Amino acid sequence: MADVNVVKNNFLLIASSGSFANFNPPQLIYYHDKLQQFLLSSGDTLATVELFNLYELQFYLALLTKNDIEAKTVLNKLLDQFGNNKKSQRLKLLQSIYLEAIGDKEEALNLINRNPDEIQLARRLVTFSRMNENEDDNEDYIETLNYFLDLQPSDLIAWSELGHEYSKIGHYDKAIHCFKEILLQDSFIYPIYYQVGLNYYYQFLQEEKNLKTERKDKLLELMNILINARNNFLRAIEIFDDYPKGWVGILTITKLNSFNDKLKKLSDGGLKEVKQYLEQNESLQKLSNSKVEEFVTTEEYGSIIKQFSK
Amino acid sequence: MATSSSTLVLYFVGILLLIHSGYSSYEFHKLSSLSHHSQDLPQDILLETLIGIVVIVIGGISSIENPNALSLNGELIIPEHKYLKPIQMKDSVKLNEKIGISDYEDLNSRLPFINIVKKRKEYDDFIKSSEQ
Repeated sequence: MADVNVVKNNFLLIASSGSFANFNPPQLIYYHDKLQQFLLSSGDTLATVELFNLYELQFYLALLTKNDIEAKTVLNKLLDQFGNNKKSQRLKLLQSIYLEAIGDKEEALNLINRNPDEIQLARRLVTFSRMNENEDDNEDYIETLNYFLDLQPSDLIAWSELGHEYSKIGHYDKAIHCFKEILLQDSFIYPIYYQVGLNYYYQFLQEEKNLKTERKDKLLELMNILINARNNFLRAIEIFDDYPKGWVGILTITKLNSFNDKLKKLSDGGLKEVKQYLEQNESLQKLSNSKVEEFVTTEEYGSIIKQFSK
Repeated sequence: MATSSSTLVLYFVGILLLIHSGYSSYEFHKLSSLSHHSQDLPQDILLETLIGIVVIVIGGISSIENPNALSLNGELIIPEHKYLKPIQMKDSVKLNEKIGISDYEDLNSRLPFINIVKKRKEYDDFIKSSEQ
């Protein structure tokens, strides 16, 4: 059995990163039950800050697993402790999320002030323009996010959200622009290079699907999109050389056999840049194949490759 | 950074040795001033002080041992570097990647923008489908 400190650090990391927002239902149930047990058995041994951070995590996990009474109890605990602080954005956010979850959207909206300086609440305010039941109908949401980013252009999380929203509706060029905005502010975020590469790949798939004739200039355009995708995956690997997603990305691009066959015809016609691309492809395929075999498990490969099939 | 019981023992022993050597030194100076003979501090007191300092330093070094971590799959991950964290980025991000939560997870999870209604519906659907 793992040490109490190891388990505690695991929960604190989940809480601080917000990774539970992407958990699937079995994971949510597992962590909800585990955290409940942990707080019962070891809650007394935790430092106050750690304890309340874990209460916040418990609140989210309870709400996501539809344990509304438990979520309300935890929220009350937090309000009892910090309720005197009327300016606390964190508390207002939790209250608003709780009300939204139980269906009282109007009251949830009323709790949030329209103060652009309160960035946490302003972000939440943006989400009220989203169609929660049908996320693909996100025109209003995108418009509000753009308005928000005009006011807060250095909010990286909002840029990432906007990028994902554009990607959802197939505006990959705009999604790429959003992710590049993040890289302008911090050029070492390798998962964002991966996102840029992935969106170039989606753009390639989209344009290839719409390709009616195999014209030389069109094929070259597609090849350039793939080069951009490949370069971004390579940049991610340059920063973190054991990045499984980056290697799987390169392997996927180099294995596009039907498109590569079309390029081969152009290369035989004497196009130097195509020949160079195909040569680089060949060597990268060997390298990425060996890297994927070396440190990407079958399960991990399966979950990554899912992202490439749009 | 974890302060294990062995570290606490080392700190305790080291401090005890330092206090003892300090008191011995005080006694020695008291005696030598009463007997009006000025002598150098005995070697055993010096040695005890030195050992006390070394034990505390060892305790200090062992307290910065990197703790083990738990991955999202429940696997126990032992850090590659026992003491201190690596400086190079490609090495320093490795541990969190193994855990399954990268250093830039907030850009992926985007918690402030969470669609709580949709997530709860997904959960509901999962429960309904598993009950059938």
